[in-house]
Amino acid sequence: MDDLISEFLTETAESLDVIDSELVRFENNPEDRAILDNIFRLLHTVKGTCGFLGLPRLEAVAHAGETLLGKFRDGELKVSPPMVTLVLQAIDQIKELLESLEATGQEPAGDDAALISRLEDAAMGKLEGAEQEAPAKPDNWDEDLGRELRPGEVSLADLEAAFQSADIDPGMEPAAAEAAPSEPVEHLGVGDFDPELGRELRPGEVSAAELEAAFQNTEAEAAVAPEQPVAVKSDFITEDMSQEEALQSAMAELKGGTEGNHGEGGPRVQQTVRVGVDVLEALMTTVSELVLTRNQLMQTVRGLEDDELKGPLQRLSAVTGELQDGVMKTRMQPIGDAWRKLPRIIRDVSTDLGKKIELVMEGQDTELDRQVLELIKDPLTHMVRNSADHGLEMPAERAAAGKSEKGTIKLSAYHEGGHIIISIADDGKGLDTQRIGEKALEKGLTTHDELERMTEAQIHRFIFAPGFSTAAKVTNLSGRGVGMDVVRTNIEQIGGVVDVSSTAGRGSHFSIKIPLTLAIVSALIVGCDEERFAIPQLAVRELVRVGAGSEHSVENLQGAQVMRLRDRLMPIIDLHNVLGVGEATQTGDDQAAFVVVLDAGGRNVGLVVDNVLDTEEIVVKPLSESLRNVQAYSGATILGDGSVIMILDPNGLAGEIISAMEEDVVIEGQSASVTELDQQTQRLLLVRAGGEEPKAVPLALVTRLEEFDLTALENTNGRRVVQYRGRLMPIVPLGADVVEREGQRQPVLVFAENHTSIGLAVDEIVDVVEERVDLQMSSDKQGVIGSAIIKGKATDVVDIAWYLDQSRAGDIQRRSSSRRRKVLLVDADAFARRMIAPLLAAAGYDVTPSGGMHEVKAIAEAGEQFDALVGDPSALDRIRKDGLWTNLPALAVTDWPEDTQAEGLTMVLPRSDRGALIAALDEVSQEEKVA
Amino acid sequence: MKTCLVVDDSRVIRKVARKIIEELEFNCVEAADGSEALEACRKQMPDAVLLDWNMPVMNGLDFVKALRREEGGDTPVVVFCTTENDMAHITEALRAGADEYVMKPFDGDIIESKFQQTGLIRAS
Repeated sequence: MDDLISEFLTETAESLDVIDSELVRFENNPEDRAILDNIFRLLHTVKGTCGFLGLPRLEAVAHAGETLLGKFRDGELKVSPPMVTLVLQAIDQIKELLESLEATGQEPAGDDAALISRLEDAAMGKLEGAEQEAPAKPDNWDEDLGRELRPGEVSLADLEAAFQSADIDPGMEPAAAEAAPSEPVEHLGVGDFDPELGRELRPGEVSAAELEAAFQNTEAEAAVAPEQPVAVKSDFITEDMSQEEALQSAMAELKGGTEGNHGEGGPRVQQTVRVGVDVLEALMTTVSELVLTRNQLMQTVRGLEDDELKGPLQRLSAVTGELQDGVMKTRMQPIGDAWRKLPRIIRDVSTDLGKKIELVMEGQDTELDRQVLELIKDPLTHMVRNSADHGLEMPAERAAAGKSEKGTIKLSAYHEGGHIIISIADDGKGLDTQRIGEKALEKGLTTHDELERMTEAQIHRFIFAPGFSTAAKVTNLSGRGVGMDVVRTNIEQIGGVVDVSSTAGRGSHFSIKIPLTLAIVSALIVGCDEERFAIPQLAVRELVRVGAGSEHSVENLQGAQVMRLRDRLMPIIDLHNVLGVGEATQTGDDQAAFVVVLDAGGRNVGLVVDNVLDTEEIVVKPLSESLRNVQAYSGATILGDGSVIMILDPNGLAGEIISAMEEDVVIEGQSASVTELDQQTQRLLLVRAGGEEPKAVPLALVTRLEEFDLTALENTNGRRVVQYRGRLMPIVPLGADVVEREGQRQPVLVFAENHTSIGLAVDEIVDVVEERVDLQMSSDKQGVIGSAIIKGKATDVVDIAWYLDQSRAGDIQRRSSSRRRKVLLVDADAFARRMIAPLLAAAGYDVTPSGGMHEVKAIAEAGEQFDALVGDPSALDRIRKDGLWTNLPALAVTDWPEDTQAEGLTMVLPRSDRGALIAALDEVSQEEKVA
Repeated sequence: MKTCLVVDDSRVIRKVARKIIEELEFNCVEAADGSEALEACRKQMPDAVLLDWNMPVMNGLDFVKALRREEGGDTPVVVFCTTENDMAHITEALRAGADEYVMKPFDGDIIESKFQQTGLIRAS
């Protein structure tokens, strides 16, 4: 029985879908008898089937709906929107019941008395608001039928006359059925008790007594029929008896015949076969395999002069092509399948909002891959709903604008190349450019300046920006938090593109372009360290040549690789690094490389590869289970020459940026500890500030680089300040000779500490270098730690701490040290090491960073001596417990100084206060020496 | 073994009917509408037809009329199934040449008794 229920669910769901859209069609064409018959029949079948499965609730609702429809069919009631709404409600109720039937395997408890009684009332013509007045009787009004005669119909009176005059063959009288209401049969409502059955009559049942009466009546009438049924029956029995043996002997034949019947007896059923999707998928994979093997073969044979092989191969090739086409077709579904629910949705919108909407659909038969179809179903529905809700105006508004009251939404689909284009056009008011612009500003998506320069079309595209929704009023239908950005994301996920064009007052037009299938894609083949990789063409925005002779180069910014492209910084991933092969392409040096600009979830990301080879149509093959968690790949494919290559996943690669950076940090930390006692390298920002000679600032200390208009600089309390992120930031020139030049933008290094920011004004930002800082000369000059050779030039290393103190007017006198003191920095967090090490180095300490206990032990075994230990509390605690350097001061640096046990530690300092750390370190190391 | 043609546009009902018919030791052939059923009859005239009323393409009524005009089309016992509460339908079907009627939902007992009444099977 379970089997039957599931069969019932599928069958009924299909029927209901058809009813939904047919009813809407019917509402618009109430005179179309064929539509009504179809709806009636489908609902009737649903009801009939319910009876077999013992589903009384469903049956009762279906019956009530059918009764109402019956009244339309018999012309007793006029079709009106509220009536159709009522029937649709009944359909919805049935759907709900079906859902719970599907979930639980049985009908839910409760009853639908309210709905049923409304349906019944409507059937009796008692619907509130329904048009009650009888229409004026036209010429062809038939009194017997109580309605207007349909084209081609004859009146009952005429029929009677015909009966009288003609030899009656009841079988030839189609109109007789309609004339038959003259039969004396009473309509019985639900719940009538039938004494013979001993139970209440089911909906639609007639009592046996009445049936018999009718039967008698008919037999009497039927006696005029040429063939007497009674006689036939008795003949039949005897005949049947005698034939039985013959039938028995002809059994085998009969069976064969029956099977034949079965096969051809149901051509319409047999034309479609239900096949599991997995079967089709498997078939597709196999065919792809075949295509690849064919390509391989073709390539092998191309070089040979073997005519014997070429003929058959040609045939194989052609057949394979046909097979591929055929299998692709099995995956194809008409787009109309995705549109089926739309008429109903539009109808609901129009009734809810009081709009008049006509939905025109074109190209329903356009086919596309079912996988793609599934994925665009929801975005499409959303967009159509949007058009109806926001795009089209109220009838009055339309009339005022000189348009017809009824708005039109036109859906169309057609093929173009390997794509399918779906367009959704409405003749509504169009997009509100101003409103969108305002909203974009509000959401911080753009600036006033940018907005002014934008074309209307560019502004319209903001509706696809994340989190954008212009609906001033959240209606029942839209504004549920799902905006066009979700639509765009969904469409882009399958390699599609969505765009909008709109003319104020004339309507808007959305067009979606999606690939026909996801199984075969066009790909760019790139080379990296002797390996080839495929990148889906859809994700490739452009190709940029970097390195030798190119204006573009990959730069290093705080450990992250970036490229400047049209005045924008774009993060760069080096495929070598991601894969861990070969040497990473060096920064802007003589070696040429290509940067593939990828679209990773709307952002541009550059991918450095060695070579760009080819474009090719590839068959996407899923990755095996064991490789599936490697983010960088989305699949694999086999090229014509038989080699297997991996397909890169742009989104996965973008994710690699973060992990690559982290890795980078770890590697650097390690390399620093390997070359431990040497001065490790520092990233330095070279600037020019007063005079030609460069000055160096440890990059890790710089929070941000900014440029300000001179007009933005203000004077307050004798200081230069600028309004920065809602606060006042003091601007201190880096050296007295920094000049503010009129009409130019002032480059400023921003340092943030303890929620306050300080800006150091410089003349020019020159470069970022990575060098070891070996202070050759210490300096007594304020604000300079000393001088070092950087890039072959004597460079002053700026004492940032001094400037910070200066700007705070907290003038702490710092002692310049005559001796470089050594500090062991222990922190498991590589980032923390990177933050603290340059600070200490800049303050004149030799820093030995180490990441963990094993490194620390190795350093201890090497017999190294230090002046102080700096690090995270737990690491220092371990060192103390292990009895290493017990005599040294240990300064703990932590984000949570309050929660840290100070036991055994010389001092606990907040990580954020670098000045305090330096001061404390100066103090303790000095004390230690003195002592 | 006798053959019974089940004509109904619902797969579920055909399935139910098939079960009943096969329990009565009939060979069961299915058709989804009147015109399919007619084709099936032209190939092999069944002994009985269990016929639905409301079907797409060709409804039950048209089918009976067409069947009775076929050669040998007068032999099958046509049992007409209906949920229609309208007596006119039943009357009309019987007039058109159906031998018996059953109300949906039917079950094994109902079909068996109808088949007995029409002499398709012997009363047990």
